[in-house]
Amino acid sequence: MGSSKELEVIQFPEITHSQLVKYAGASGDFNPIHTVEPFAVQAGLGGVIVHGMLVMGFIGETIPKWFENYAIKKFSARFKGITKPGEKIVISGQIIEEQADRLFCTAQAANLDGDVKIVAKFEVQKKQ
Amino acid sequence: MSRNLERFIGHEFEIYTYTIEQSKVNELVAVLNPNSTVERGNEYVPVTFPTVIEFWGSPISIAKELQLDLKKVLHGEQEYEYIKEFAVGDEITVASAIENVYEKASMSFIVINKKFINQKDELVAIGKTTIIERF
Repeated sequence: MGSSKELEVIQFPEITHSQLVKYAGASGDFNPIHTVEPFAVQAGLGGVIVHGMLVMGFIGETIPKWFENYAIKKFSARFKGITKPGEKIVISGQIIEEQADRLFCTAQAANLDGDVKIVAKFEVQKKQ
Repeated sequence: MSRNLERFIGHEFEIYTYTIEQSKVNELVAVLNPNSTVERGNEYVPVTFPTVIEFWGSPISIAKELQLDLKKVLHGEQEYEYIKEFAVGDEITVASAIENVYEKASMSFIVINKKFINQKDELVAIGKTTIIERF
């Protein structure tokens, strides 16, 4: 990535089944593939899978830690792989380009084996 | 085995309004930051909060309205553009429509566009959700 600048890597605690129940309640996404084991097995997933938006949320919580005095203007994620409870997610990121008061960045969510779950892009703008 | 979901292109969902309450913000912050004592001011609303507005605010289930099989539904992509910041107390009206539907590699891709407008009639954010249904 040439002149891109790496941001501090942030690790989130192991995702638990209880956390998926809490995320379902918090978000309102009650698709049982995330919380009901027999349903998820029947769906061919081998067990419950983590809400993609929970993992995107980890990136969303990391951005203000990286850029305290900036506002997030754009944030997009592509969900590349399924996450299971028991996995630990690590968030990494890069500043790709700087234009006036705006930074163009990329971020990734992966597990400890390096399996990528999300590739994301975001833009932040310096607060006045 | 095509599902012919293309007929839904242009479909507009019922418009709804959702008031951002502090307790729902706290609940999301807590689950996104487990074991964390990170101090967030009361004005802090996570950037992924629109998901809460969408699921709790919408009077209908999009999956149900499109007759999607929940066992086969995955979230493919999510995009947000923020024109303003969301704030506790905001009354957010959401207009959602199906922007595109296409099929690729035995999957249907459904692209839904959402506009989040506050009580002052200001555009706060635009969301784009791509839902995948496996055949």
